[in-house]
Amino acid sequence: MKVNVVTRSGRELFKGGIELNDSATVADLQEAIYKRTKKFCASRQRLTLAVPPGSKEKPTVLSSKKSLKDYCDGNSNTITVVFKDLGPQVSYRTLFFWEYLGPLIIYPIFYYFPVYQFFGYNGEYVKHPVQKYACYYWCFHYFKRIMETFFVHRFSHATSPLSNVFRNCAYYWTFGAVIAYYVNHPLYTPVSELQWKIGFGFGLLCQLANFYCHILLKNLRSPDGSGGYQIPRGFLFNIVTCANYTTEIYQWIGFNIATQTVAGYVFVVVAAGIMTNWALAKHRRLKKLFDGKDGKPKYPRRWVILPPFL
Amino acid sequence: MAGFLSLLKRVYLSIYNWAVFFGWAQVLYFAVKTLIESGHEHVYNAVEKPLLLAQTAAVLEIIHGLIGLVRSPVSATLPQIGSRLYVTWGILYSFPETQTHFLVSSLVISWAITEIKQYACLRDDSEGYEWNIIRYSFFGVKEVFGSAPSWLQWLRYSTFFLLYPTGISSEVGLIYIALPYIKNSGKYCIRMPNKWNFSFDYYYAALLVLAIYVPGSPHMYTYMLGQRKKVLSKSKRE
Repeated sequence: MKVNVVTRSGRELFKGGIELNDSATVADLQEAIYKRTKKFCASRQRLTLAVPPGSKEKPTVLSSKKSLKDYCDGNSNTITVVFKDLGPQVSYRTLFFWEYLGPLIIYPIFYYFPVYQFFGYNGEYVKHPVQKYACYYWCFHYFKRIMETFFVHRFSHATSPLSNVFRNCAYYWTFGAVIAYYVNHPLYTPVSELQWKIGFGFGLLCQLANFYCHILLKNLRSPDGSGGYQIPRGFLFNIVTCANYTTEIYQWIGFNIATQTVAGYVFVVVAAGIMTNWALAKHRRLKKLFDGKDGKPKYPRRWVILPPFL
Repeated sequence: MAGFLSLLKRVYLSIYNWAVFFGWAQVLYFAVKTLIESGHEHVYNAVEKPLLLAQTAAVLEIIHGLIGLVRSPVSATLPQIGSRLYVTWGILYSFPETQTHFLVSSLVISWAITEIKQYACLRDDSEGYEWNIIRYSFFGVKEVFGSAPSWLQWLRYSTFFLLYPTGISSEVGLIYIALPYIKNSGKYCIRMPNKWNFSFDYYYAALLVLAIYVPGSPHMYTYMLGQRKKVLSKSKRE
């Protein structure tokens, strides 16, 4: 079959199109494109079916596992595919690793090393027990995240644009540094012992719950990395779609109850906002996918992310 | 009902625009008059009241954009209004030592001319009016056909070539001049220790603002260049 590959402005990428086997899959097409251009590896390619001009429909993205024939209408032996370059990509594992490594290294620097002299605080100062436990808690959290990245998570997309590395690292590393600065400050004012014990205890519980949520999510997907979406079930997922985000937010709240800094609370508000955006999209996607038709189950009524608010 | 609301909206906007236009006209008048008669040291005192009023009224611009009363992009107006309010209240009003500097004159004159032209031309930015009976414009020209005269548009979109650099340099200059006063006074600073383990240093915040001007100014300038191209080519085609 013949495949015409065009850019979004209508320009033909390959004169005369690409000739492929009738039984070729989208993955074969991606490989052919890569061979011919040498620049655009498969994960950089976004291939969609053409939409009629002026139409507001979202274009159908070609899935690499399906065969091209599935996208041809009728008996036609040619198909036109729209190409978009997503830019240099990195694997999600790489992205997450660099994001989380920053906080893991930067925070302890503020606890263990005499950095505050550079901010004008010279001489000895007392360190409170809560600051020590905060350091352990924080580092445990990011260590856990890195471990989950390599051993637990199964990603629906293999890659993410390279620019996200800079953006995400800036976010995590800056917040990490600012929070570390305030919690380990020579003039830090700790809360009562009861309060920080409750804070860390609650936070740890939530981290464990969060870990269990990740395990449940992992088991929804098969190990061969085919991705896909299932209705999450079990544990907190029975009442809230994105229980993993819920536990993550509560875990940060626990940290803040224990350490009480404006910077920390600002961080949890921003993080909650970002996760809420993701949660809404995921909830919507699942509801749309599991609409109860064609033998598919109907997505049950659940909270999105933070009962009883959303 | 819809017709009445839209009428109310037009009346409100007309009153608002005219009021702010008048405020800036006062600023320009007093600034130039005082500059010629008494010298640059007295300009701030002469314009303070209308300046504070007219500049702070700009906050309403943002609200108008947010509630959809006008179709202006909040993202473009926010940095400009933000920097103006910062310099007006956070620098000039808060640190009187800066008020006698000659940059105050260049600042308020640049702002005043820019604002006067903007408010005179505001009609052409708005969505299509069905109601074209009376429109205000700077030189009292009555627009019955629905758009500002093209020379007024040209004026608005071309004089920024000069006014943006003078305005921005005055802003940056005044912030820089204020720095030692900011540091010594410790005004608006929050110090540790405190219950919320938070600190804020107005001096370093001012340095950060200066740093933002470095990418921010070319961004605003090129935005105006783009707007100019869009508006002037559109009116040429009409």
